[in-house]
Amino acid sequence: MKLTGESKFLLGIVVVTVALIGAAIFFFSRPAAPLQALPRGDLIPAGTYTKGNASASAYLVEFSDFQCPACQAFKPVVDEIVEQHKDNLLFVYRHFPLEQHEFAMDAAKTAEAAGAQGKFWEMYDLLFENQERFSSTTWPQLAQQLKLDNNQFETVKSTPTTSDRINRDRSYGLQIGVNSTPTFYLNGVKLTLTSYEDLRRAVENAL
Amino acid sequence: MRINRIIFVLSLLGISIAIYVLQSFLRDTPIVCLNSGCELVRKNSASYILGIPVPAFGLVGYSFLAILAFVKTTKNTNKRTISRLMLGIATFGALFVTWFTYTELFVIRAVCTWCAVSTVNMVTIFVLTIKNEIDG
Repeated sequence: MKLTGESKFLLGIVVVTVALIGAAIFFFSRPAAPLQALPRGDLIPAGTYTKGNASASAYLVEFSDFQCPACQAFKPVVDEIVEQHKDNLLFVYRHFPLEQHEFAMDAAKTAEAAGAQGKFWEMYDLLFENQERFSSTTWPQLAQQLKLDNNQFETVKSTPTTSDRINRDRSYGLQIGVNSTPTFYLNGVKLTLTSYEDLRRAVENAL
Repeated sequence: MRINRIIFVLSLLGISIAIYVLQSFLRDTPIVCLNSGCELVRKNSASYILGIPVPAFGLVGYSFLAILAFVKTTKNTNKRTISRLMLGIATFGALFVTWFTYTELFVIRAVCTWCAVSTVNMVTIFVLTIKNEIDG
């Protein structure tokens, strides 16, 4: 390849471009900003269901969807962590039903309705246990299993207050950047997890 | 030769944009954007063709154009053939960015600033290659 004057000129442009890009990368690379913790009061609003020690300074929030397989997969790990650290940790459940999960909203309402009769966490267990067979008839069946008052159950399940609360959880989640489930916040800071071990380790380190 | 120089510089611009956007796709790092459009486009599956991120295609297209524009300035080359090749690639490029802009507007319903810049860039290059052909 024989270079003409023009060729060399173009090469010069390439060199200048690369130099400019290099300089831009150098001067504009900022070290990653430390993660800001979200206010506890925002992550745990009134009426939110919690497990463990309410006066513990350490708290783990999970944005979850009862029809989400990943949430189901994480549950045993979460349960184990919560049980193991029940004196030093507060576990918080926030609803984040995903659009593509047909029964997620109903499941969430079912949990809330059970919660109104003091059995949120029992229903939480039942829902994840029965995730594979969610249908429109699942909810009363589960309520019966927990020996809930059926009338009150149905009322609370269908009242706007309940769906409002669930939607409020979801809106807040969207606002802070939750876009998949499960998403965990430990002491107000979002966790990036690649394995169940990561969650265990993060909680251990925080306690 | 003036036009060729401009095409070359615009192709370098296209390569730079493509690399920047592509690395953001691959490393899942934040991207400088006028609105939330860039994030929405990046996360959408319509921004991948056969599993390949769209900016990768831009990178290939712009690279070919830049290389050809450069080769055209060297001695003993068939400038006509190279110009025709560039016109062909630019045509495909223009069609590609048009299709993707359509996808952004009507499928993803979000516009990524960089894609818009690249669209204008590629169409400009396309127009210039046509002008080259007309001028002979």
